[in-house]
Amino acid sequence: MYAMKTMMIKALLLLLALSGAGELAMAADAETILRRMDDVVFAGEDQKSSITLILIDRSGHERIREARVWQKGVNKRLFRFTAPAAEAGIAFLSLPDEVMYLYMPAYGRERRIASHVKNQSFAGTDFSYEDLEAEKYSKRFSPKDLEETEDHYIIQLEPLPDVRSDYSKIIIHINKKHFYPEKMKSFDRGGQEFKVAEYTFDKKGDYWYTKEIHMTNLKRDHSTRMIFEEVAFDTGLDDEIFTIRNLTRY
Amino acid sequence: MDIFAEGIVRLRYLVIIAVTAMTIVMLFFLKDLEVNADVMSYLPEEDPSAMLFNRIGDTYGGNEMVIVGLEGKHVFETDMLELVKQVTDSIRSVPGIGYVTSLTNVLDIRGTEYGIETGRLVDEYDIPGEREALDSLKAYTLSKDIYRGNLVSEDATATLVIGKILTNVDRTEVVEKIQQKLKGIPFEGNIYYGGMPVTLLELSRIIISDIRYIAPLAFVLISLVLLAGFRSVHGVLLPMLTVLIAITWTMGVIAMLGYQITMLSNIIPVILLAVGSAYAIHVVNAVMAEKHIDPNKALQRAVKYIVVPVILASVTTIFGFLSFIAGSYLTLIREFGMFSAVGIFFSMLLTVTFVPALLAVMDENDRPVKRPATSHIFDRIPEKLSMLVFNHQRWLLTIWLLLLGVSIWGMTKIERRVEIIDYFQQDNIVRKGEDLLAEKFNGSTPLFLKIDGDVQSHTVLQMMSQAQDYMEQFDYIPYTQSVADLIKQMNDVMGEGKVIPDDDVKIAQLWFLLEGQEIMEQLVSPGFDEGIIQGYVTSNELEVLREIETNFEAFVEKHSTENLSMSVTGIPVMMKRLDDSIINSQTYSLIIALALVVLMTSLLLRSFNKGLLAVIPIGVTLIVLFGIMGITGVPLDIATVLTGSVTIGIGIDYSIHFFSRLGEGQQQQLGLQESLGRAISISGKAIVINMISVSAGFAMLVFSNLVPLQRFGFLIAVTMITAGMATLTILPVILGGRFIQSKGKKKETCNQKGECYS
Repeated sequence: MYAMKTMMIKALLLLLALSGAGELAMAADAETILRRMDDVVFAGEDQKSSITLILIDRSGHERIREARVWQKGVNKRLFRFTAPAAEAGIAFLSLPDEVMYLYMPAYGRERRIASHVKNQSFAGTDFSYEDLEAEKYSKRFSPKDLEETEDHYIIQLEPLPDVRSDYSKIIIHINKKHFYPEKMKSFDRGGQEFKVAEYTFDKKGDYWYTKEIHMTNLKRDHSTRMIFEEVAFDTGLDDEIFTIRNLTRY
Repeated sequence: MDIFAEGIVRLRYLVIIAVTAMTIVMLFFLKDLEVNADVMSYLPEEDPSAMLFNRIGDTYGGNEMVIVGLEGKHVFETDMLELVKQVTDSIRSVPGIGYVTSLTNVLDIRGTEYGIETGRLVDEYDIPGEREALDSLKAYTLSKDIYRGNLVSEDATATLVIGKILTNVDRTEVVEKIQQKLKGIPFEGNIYYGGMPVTLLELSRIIISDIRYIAPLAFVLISLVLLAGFRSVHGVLLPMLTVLIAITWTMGVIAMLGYQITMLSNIIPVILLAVGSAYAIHVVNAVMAEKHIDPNKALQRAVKYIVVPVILASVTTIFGFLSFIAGSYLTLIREFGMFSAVGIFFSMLLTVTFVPALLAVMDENDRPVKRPATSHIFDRIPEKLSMLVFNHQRWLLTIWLLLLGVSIWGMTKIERRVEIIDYFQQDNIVRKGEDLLAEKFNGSTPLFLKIDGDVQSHTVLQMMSQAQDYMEQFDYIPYTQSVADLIKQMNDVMGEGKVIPDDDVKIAQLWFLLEGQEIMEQLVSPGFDEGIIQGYVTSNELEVLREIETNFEAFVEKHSTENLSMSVTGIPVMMKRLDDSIINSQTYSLIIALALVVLMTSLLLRSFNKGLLAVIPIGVTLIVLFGIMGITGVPLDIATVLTGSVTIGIGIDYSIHFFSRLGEGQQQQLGLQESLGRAISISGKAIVINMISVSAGFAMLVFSNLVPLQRFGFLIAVTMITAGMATLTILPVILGGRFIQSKGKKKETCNQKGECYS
């Protein structure tokens, strides 16, 4: 009888615990989902690729730019444009502590760029410097579960208190099976929908990689397709690549 | 005419029911009547400068701005900058706003010893709090001419937040929303508003409030004058009712056909009030005159007599207004001519059917009208006029000639002005806002110079730069902006000086850095095949507009080549075109209308001489009207030139009634002088009542908050009185001239009936 009672109490406690834990599990879920997405999006120690940027204005007029990109860790990146001819050789080198250098071959000299504005467009595209940041989402945003559909987790991100973001929130549709983002809707600080990014992912070796991002700026009525090719992970990129000497070598 | 008069009396109930039914139908349409106060939309869509203006709006994220000025505190204080940020965010969140520029969000590019620094001028997340930081921000901001005079005043007491309004949105609604939002923000200083959309909103607000308060007041006053004139309810009710119904029908037709009320067509009720009430007054007056003679069948006799002149007057006036349609460049003038004609037609129709029908019904229960024991003022004025005409014709002529002489001299002094800002009184928010912008900033009226060509080429950028230098040499264009400025600035940052680089590759690489910046989209087309120079004009004076038009067109022509073409547009250019078109076509239409009136009256009066005489009161009134405008400094503008139309309508009416009474007297074998006396006393009474009542009504416009409405009221009063006096004095003096001369130099005295004795 006593045992029975104990068992029942235990069962009740367990039930209570479970129900409480259930809530916790849900909260943890959004964070876990975001962290898993980060692992997919920012996979590999280093990465190099060729990028085609297709800029599409509101009348459908397209302009194409090409570039090579080298990335090591979270904060070393070299972006060098290869086409069109007039812009070939223009390069951006990002180093830790938000240090950035620009090289313009026509002027034959590099210039340090200090930018305090992350919402500026990068190279005329619909991507801002913030959109291209290599810092993980989970370090910049706090996530919240919104919805779960058959194929997607839909979570909402809000910038962490000490983080400067141009967005008031981002709603992400994450693939349930592989944890890569398929769609991101960003809202401006006035709460209006501002940008929509659609992602296509592909698998290369162990890693899923972004094949294309189609970013639409709803306010500008302008969009950019960023297409990644010749993607290579963990090739052991030399630190020498990320130096001013290399930047100006064109 | 007998049959007609009998018929109306017989079918009186049918007429009244039909008119009531029609009025109900028109009231139904009237509720959909829309007002279009947007002056810029009045130019035809195919007008080159309007087309260019709209295209610039579509391509460069808006062509019109709402400017919010914050004044009263030192700008470079933490709380003031916080306020600027709050205002910026509020405006940005209003739908229909394309771009917002202010101190707290403007992008600042500076070359430093380390390299290039791009950032916000003021970090909106970290607004400086230390005195030192604020002072250095002030020094830096005021040192750059893209900020000084554009975003902050030189004395740092005022700053602007500028919102660009997208095309195809209701601009006034955007302004209303902004004003609502900013009302909720506490600020001890003053908030000013500027820009054309703000002006238009304020304009329509004032017009609506004026109509609400002044129209009823004017109606009451007119009714009182009519009551004093006729001393009968009929005399008040019938003219007022006729006018109201005619206005309802006309406005109903405008709405029914899908047209909008414009700055011109809103004068139509005024014309109908003046002319339409005159028609009905003539009928009532005729009936009363007949009743004094014989109360029985007075109505039929009066109708029989009055229908012809009313129809003749209205048909002539209708032709006068229809002449506005021919050859007018602006659709709004065509609409104005057409609907004024329609309105006059309705007034005439109602006067010859509804008024007699209603009189017939009223007559059934009417008490016999007694002639007032003492004649009152409206009888005495024509009597006095008769005395003057018959006894002091030389004096009269001298006075008129003097008046004409002074007026002709005055006409040479007439000013032409198109500044909408003059419409507002000194204490109006629009006026205050524009004063602030003109005084402390670079003005608010956008002027665009578009350059077609490869904007990434040295040649085109160099031309842009040259054009900017050209524009800025005029005092009234303190500042211009183009992509050439940005390229020069970037070249400087790259260490090669503030010039356009010779090398197109360098330009391409600088361009690369600028691309995607908000400001670029406001200055170059997406395909990079054209760019604009955006300038601001601090003055809208006609002289300035003329100078802009002629000089800029010459500049554009001189420098356009095969690969590079330029064109100018902007609010100043469009205002000038609009104003020119209206004034020219109105002047032209007035001349055509006068010629038509001579033709019509010659046919009607079966004499070219009489036809010519009939337009004398109109001609004299026009001269006096424009002369008084010149002397009193009332400028000739879109609103005031329209008083000419009222002059034609009312002048025709007065002349025809006068000639009609004169003809009636002569038919009855009365002598010329006696006929003249009768004409002055009978049609004179109607004319005087109409003249005084309408003038009194329009005098109420002095209470208007809009300066042009005040002027318009004054000018209508001038028109009515001059036209009335000219008809009742000049016409008989000229007509009687021969008669008086034939009597030799013998001094005669005549009474108001034209009976003379030595």
